[in-house]
Amino acid sequence: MRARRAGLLALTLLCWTVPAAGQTRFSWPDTTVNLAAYASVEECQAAVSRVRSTLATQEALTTGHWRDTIAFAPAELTSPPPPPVTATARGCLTRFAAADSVPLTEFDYLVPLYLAAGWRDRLRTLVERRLAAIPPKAEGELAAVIDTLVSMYLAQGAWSGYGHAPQFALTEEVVTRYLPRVSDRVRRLKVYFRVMHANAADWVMDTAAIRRLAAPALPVLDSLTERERARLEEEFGLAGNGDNFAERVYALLNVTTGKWAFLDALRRSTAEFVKLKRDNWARATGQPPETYLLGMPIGERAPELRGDIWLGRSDSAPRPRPGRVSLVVFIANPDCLGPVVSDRMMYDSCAENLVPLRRLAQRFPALEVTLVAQSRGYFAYLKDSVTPAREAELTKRWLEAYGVHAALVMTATDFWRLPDPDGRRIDRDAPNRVNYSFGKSWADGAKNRRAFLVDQDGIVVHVRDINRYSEEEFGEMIEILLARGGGRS
Amino acid sequence: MSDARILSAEDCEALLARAHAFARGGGDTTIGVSSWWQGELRWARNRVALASDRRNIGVTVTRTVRGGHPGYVSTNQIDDVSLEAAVRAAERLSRLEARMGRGLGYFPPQPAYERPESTIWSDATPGLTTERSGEVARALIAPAEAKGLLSAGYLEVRVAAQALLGTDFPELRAGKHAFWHHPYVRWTQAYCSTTVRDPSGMASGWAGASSYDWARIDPAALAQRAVEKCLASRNPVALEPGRYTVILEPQAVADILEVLVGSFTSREFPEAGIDGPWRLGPDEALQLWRTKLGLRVVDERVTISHDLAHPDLGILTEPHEYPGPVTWIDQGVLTALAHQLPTAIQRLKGHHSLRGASGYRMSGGTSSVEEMIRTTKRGLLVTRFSNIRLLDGVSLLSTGLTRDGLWLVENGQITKAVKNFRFTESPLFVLNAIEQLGEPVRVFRPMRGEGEPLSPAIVPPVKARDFSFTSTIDAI
Amino acid sequence: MSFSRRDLLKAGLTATALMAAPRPLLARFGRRWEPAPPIQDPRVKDLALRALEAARAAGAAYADVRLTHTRSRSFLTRVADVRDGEQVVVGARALVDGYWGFASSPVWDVEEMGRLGREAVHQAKVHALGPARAVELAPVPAVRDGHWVMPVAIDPLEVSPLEIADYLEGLRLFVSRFPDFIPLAPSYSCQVQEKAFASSEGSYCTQRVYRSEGDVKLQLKQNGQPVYDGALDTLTPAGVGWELFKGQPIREQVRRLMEDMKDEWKLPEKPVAVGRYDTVCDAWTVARLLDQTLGRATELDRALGYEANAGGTSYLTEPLAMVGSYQAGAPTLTVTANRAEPGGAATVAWDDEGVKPDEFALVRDGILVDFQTTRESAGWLKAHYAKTGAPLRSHGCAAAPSALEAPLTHTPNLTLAPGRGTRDVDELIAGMGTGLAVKGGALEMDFQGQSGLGRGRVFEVKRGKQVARVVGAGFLFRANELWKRLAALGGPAGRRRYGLGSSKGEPAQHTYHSVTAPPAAFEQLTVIDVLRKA
Repeated sequence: MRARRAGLLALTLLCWTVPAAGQTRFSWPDTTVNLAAYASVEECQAAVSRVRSTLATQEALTTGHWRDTIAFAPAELTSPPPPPVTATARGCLTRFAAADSVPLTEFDYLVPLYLAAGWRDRLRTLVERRLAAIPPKAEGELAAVIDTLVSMYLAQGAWSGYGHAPQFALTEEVVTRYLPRVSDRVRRLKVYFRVMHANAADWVMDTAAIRRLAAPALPVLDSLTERERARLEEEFGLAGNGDNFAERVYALLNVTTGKWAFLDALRRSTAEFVKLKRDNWARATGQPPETYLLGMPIGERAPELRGDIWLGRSDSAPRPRPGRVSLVVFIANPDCLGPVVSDRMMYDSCAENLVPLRRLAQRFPALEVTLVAQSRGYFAYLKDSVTPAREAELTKRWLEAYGVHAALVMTATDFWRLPDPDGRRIDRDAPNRVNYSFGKSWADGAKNRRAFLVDQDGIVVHVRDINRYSEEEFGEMIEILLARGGGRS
Repeated sequence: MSDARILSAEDCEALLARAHAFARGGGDTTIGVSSWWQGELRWARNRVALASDRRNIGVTVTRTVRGGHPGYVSTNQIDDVSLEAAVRAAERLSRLEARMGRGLGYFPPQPAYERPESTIWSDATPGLTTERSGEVARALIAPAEAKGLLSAGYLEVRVAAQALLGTDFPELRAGKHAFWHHPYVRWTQAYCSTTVRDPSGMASGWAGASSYDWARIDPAALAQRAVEKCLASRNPVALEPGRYTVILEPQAVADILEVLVGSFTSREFPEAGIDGPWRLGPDEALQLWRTKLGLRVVDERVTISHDLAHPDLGILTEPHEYPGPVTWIDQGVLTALAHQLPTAIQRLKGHHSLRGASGYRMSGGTSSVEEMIRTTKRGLLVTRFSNIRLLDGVSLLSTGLTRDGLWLVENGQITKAVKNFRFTESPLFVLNAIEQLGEPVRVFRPMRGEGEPLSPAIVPPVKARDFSFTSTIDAI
Repeated sequence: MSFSRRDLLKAGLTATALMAAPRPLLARFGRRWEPAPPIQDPRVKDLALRALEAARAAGAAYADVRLTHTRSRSFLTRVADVRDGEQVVVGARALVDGYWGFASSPVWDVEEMGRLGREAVHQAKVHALGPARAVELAPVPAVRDGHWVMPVAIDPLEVSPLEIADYLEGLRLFVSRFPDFIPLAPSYSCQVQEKAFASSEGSYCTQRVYRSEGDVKLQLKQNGQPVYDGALDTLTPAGVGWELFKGQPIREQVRRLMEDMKDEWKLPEKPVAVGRYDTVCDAWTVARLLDQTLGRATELDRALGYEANAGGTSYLTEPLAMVGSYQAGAPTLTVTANRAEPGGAATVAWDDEGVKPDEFALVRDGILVDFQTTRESAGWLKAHYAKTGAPLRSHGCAAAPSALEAPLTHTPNLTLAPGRGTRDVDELIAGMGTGLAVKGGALEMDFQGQSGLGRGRVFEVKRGKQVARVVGAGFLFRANELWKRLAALGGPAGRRRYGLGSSKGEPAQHTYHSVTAPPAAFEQLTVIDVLRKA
């Protein structure tokens, strides 16, 4: 009893007085950074990238939105660096501002910083010096420097993280001025392809620039010897989804064909659209047309979705429903629908895909979206009582919380467990997943977050992950398909 | 019984509420508070060298302003101004970098379950007053002094408490339980160990015990044991390094098992293919890594288990730890590895996190140490090991030293004291070379940081073959 | 502003009221809540004196009190990973009839000072009831209001954390310029501790002590996979500020490290051939050998058994008989200690007993001549000092991580005197001709600082050059033999200073000190295969 009273007294004392100041200070020095004391280019790189990320922070904190969930706007990528970035770069670079005398060993690192500082003239001086420093016979070095410079200007590869906008005009300037000095046709062609490919991005699509660049490049492409083509393929590689020759050539042809030619073809019919794509593919790669673009099932008939539980479907018509433009989206991400481990994980696995999907669904009410899921035996922290039906219900509520209102089909997953004490659950692939792999070797075609755009006749038109960068492309094609009406493939 | 030397549950609740109220700028806040008191006694050369009464508080603040990164600061001051300063400092750190919030959303609550009440509290532990500890010290020292030996040692009683409260994911809350809400827990613990040395420095004996309950520690018995060991260690002879049959007293067993029980953590590692004792190999067909779960890894007489909620074995400080007993090795078969909550939810049958074996019990047999000696033709009796270091993370091969009592057993009898050895051996090898096991007993566990809970061990004496001693050392 | 007598009286009344109840853990400075002032503020002294008064009134023959305010900040490369911590504690120590009592808590206020002073006496008195214990504290001149700030070039807490983060990220970017290497995130952490010390003998001093340490690690890669690890050895704990990095030739060091890593990796691998070898150790390894053998063994309290139940004792088993005559090593071996050494990790102006540390030799020309001492333990050497005519004084080795812990003898900054010549590690290797070289060594010691197992990067040396990497090699040694087998010491230019940590006591206290050593050559070390069982 006495002890209890003591506890109460202690409590009273804790709340007894509101002190004016405490014992600890947590002093925090002035966060003004003395940029003039920065002694190396890398510190400036660090400072500039920190300021960029701080600006993004501030934007997120003021607007409450994280940029990556806002619809993509091309202006994001072409706008000049924000004033604090420019100021930081300029303040930091005082020791490295003399473009006519800075050590050329710093060239690769200074170019992005000069861009951040908005120093175009100094940049030209620096580039001129760098190229002039190459001995006349060192053609390999010249090609390599131009290649790197193009990467830096276009913010590609290792330079994509620097945060500067792609510099198309500067890139073209360099290519026009210096690339003809490279006599190796393959090397030259590689650079042309890269630059044209960049200009052919959906959000740029500068056809005039592409034609200008294509003028010297296309004759080379068409007159490649066997050996040269073999070299190109060897150096870029033909397989895979990344940075490869086939894609570049294909893009080039697409551009020379014209993006609008594709969309026009799609306007006419899906078959024509598919044929145009396959022909370009064959021309670019020398491969048969049916191997079209890295195995994407464009032109295939979309299988009917099957499932144990359907939610949000107004009738029992098959999906994708004949006569409707459909988007079939596979939703199975355990990080999005599983236990909460971190905010970041939920962003990476949920918002990034679901927010653009919501926007597409809202923009095209006539689009029939079907979300395809398979049960996993848990939802978030729930496990004990989770039946596939309950899981479907919870998943749907969760997606609706992101504004995604659509039909959901859930397959009760067939699974088994490794014998105890291991006990790990091994899921078998659900039929929808298998069917949407079209019996091809790329069996993960129907992986998480992948979306299949299907026309009114049930033919697959477009396949990509849904995110803010693919959003616009999906939008254009959906718009055309909806306008086209059914029955024209 | 309340103990005013540490913060009470009410104190902590009030403190957490006050600190939370300082948060500005939205987002989430997690505040942790800990508080400890220790009464300590060190003695050496048969005299008390230092008696102390110490206490401290720890507050950790994690603030994540909306859209920000978690900012973390710690302080030991609990007045309003200090707490506010700490919260402000954490917010300042939080604003330095942005992070995506959770967005919109709905998540179902966690499954609610009854958190077992776990008390490792004994009034006898804080009840050991300074005055009483004076008598205890004299009782510990006297037997050694009477024999002309030098006693050194350490006695500690502690009380500690902690609580943690966060605001993250309010929609996940189920009643009082959430992984960011650790209700107030408090505990007691007591340590006592003593080393008795011959004044010539040529013999040393040790005994120690730890428990949450001071009443379970018998200082006189410890003193007696250390004195006997010291006397029996005189005039040691050097033996050739090599492989010996060993009779490991329970303390030595616990010492060498330390790296093994530490390896039960993180089932996620072997399943991700990370090298370690429990990874088996890749399963190409299933595209996963097989683990040694379900395989016999040690002698079938060995069972290593744990019950977090049992006062003899530990304490639950986090509400979402596995609430039931767990068997790590069941009759020689690896049956469990610790894992995170998401692992259980996504892949396993339960929905719990399973903490590693900080406290544990190893099964035993019926042989007494005396019987082990009697049945040994030639071998070594080991009191304890010291300075152990892991050499290889896959085989658990370790190196270390014998200390404070090593004897040669010949034809069923202890014949000589032996100079200490360095060993190079793996606990997995030892547990696969068992000849006899004795009755499990509580042993001394290494001290942990101030205020941290005790992790007890209950282990038997073990007789094992072919233990590898690699060099003799001079230290006594 | 300072306390008036009336303030103290009022505070005293509150204290009486509080005494009736079990002690609440309130944090409060003075009568009113006040911000913690800089340590030189006279009010801190007033607090300290309150504890001394209480201890004296309760019957202490001697008492001291320490107040520490410790701030720490640590960085990984990202600024968001900054961790800040702060701790305010006070500890009082009292000596009654030869017995020490200690009490500490996180509360800086007047009543608490009184309580701690009385509690320390109470703790001591209980044991003073037992058999007598004689303590003679070595005399020390009283420090009258001494104030000292460790001279650092850049106070790390005054630099914008953003600047430090930019620097570290810049360093990472620098390493990433080299395609053969993978940079690991560089880190930096610092601690600034302000402490006040007052003793019943009239000393009062305050000091601000800095400690910084960092890490720059990289991996050599081949086919995209890391194959060989390396780290800068210049960033171990030291009594410096942000200048640990800033203004140092870190990039040149990184470049040299990269060259070394490549050279070492290029060497063929070779299994261990067990046997005896002449061996050259780099300064890193020699510093650790010194630290864990003589550095531990010459702690006088340890040698006399005060650590017997914890880390162990010392191979200098009869310290009082050995001092002045024991052959601790070859005649070329001279080891000195000095907690006043500028920039050292254990450097202070006054130790935790108010003693101004001096430079002293532990081993001179191979002979053990002294021990690490505090005021109490210096008294144990009284006869020796009298015999040699040396003054009876503490060498200032009393230390504790903060006022929360009672001071113990902790290793001071150590220096192994270099050889006469100018040889660096490469020249020692060249001079040896055939044998082994050990670099970046790590040791497993016994509990007397005697028998050890050394590991590290081991190289076979032939014709004065490293020709192979010996995989899995270790060397066994006995400290007394090791130092007698000292064949050659590198010159002054080859010396390096490293900050090392050590643990002592029950409960364990962790402190830091510097060890300065040249590379050295040893005759005939026993080399084994570490992973091979008997």
